[in-house]
Amino acid sequence: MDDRDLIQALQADSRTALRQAMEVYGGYAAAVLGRALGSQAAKEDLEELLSDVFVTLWNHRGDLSPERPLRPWLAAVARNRATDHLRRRRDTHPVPESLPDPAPGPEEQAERRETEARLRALVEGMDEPDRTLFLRYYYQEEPLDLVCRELNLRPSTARSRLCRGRKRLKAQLIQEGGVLDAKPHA
Amino acid sequence: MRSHMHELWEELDLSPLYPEPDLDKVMARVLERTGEELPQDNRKRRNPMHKRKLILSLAAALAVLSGSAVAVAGHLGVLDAFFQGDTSALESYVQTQVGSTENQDYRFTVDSAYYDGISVYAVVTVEGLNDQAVADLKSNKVIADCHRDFWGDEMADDLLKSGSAGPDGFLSNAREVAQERGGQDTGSGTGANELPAPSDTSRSWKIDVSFQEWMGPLEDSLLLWPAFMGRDYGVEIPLDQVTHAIRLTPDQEVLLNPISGQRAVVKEIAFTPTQLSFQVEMPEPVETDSAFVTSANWWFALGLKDGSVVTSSQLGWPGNSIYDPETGLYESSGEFNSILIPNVEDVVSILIGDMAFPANASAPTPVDPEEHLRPFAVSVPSGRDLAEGRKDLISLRLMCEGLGAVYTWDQESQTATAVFRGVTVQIPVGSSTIYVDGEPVELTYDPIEWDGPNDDTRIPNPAQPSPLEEDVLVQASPFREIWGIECSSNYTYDDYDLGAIIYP
Repeated sequence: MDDRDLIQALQADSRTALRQAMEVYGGYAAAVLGRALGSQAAKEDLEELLSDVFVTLWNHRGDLSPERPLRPWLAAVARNRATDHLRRRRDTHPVPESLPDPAPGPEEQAERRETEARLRALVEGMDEPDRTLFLRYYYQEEPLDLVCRELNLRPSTARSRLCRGRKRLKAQLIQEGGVLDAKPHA
Repeated sequence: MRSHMHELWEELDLSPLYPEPDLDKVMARVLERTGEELPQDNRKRRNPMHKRKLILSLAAALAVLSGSAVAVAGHLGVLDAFFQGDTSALESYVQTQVGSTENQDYRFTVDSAYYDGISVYAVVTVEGLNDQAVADLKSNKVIADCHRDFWGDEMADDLLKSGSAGPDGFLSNAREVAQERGGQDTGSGTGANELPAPSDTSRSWKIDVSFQEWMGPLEDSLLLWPAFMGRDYGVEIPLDQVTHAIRLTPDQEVLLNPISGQRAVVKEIAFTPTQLSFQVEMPEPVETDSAFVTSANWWFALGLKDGSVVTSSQLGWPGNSIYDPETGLYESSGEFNSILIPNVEDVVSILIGDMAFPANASAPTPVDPEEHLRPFAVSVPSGRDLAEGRKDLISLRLMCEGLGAVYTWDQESQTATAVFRGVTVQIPVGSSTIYVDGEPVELTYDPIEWDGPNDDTRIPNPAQPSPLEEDVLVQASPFREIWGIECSSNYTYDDYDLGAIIYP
């Protein structure tokens, strides 16, 4: 269902609609939270904040307008939750100077952010429809069948394009000067 | 559910910027936390503002259009815009001058429309009614800006550059119409492709909206509107008239995919002169690493009264498939590029998988494998080490055997000759020039590293010697145009041994 239908169903107290909202936007809201929290994010905190976002959606469904898209609203709630969490964490859990900080160090964080910026630039530089496909599927975390319908692509074609695009990105990142080895997040 | 971004980071060997949440666990937590009753005062309802609109009556619209450049001859009719071939039998189902609405800046007109029971096809025009509106229309700013809130600045800026209608340039109430009938979730987006501009103050598009399954004649109309004007300025397209169609509900098990062994139960088939859709249930989906193989699920052929057979390849059928989790069915549908069968009465059977389904709904019968109608895989025989970028070459001899084509080999000239559907092809080993009915055609190499649709890099692609006797290695793709077959090559995947799948 589209956002209009989804909001109207939420306002009719449909929990199926709440599940649908999480299926469609869960990944996206997690991405907003994750990027806002950055290296400060612990998995459990991220999951709790993500559940806060959708509980907020449910609690405030009466305030939503069916005429407005849901994505920006969820993004705003997620960013606010992230800000509140960072503020609370700073006030109540200062990192002792004598203990090692498990989070990545500043230099590593900077390198990782730089690589991410390069990745984004490479994706933005793709030709259509690959560019829109990558942005919607990966960055916006949209379901593939929705993206395929609206780009008029066969799912097999879309998967093929994603596969080729990923290979190309990997080759370009390596060519441009090094890729960080994958490390488990603390 | 997994985070797509984390999948991408994994593939690129990048450490994630943030941890990956367990989305299923989060969903369970949310449902648990929202289980309690909420205070009544939280449940507010808002009524959308109703914009003032001016809807022209059809007579008034005709008076306006006849005086404006929008009605200039040369405006493509809907059938010409979408289909090649003989569409004359469908003309009586085309609606013209369907309706028009306008606000202070724009006039939106549905010039012509056609409904085949599955999809609605329309040609529409938007005209700017003042200088600023025309400028915003012609520059695509008005379309780009309506994407900005939802899609963000990057999408909007890209639409300014490309001039495309984007995913949300035009919207419809197709979802509501489908759901009213218990149909599947179709999405509200439309496929919009631009046509030549009718005038200096207007632009035109061809738009198709698919219900993705047979809906048949409907009392509801489809409402279509430009996103930048809003739903209140939608034009209704009646759906109560549909072309003749064949509709079957066989509930028959078939071997759907001869390559993967996938079996399925065919639940419904709908054929019109412009489209075919069918629904299947797959109680036991075959696990495969390759979407390239599962694409062979979606093909069909039509048996005609005169004994001939027309395949989905010849019709230019895209064979899109979508899974509906609510029904558990796979729906495959798509309109034909070419109208080869304008009268459905000429079809006596529809072949899906290994069964033929009679148009009169009598019992299905097995398809004779000797008829060479089903998709098959062809690879490079082992023992041939090909250079990077040449991995999609396949054995011409094996391809011809699969198609039932006539194949001969001249040892002295090292030339293969093959005849299929009345077209003769001669391919000498080591040459990038082949002969199609005596005319020279250059084979060019399609590089794996391809920078998108604007990259027209081509390299001469000579036919290669084969480890098989009396054989030559070629790409399958040139035969799309030469023989009207369809093919998909496996060069996008790491497992190069799979070669190509050929759809007769």
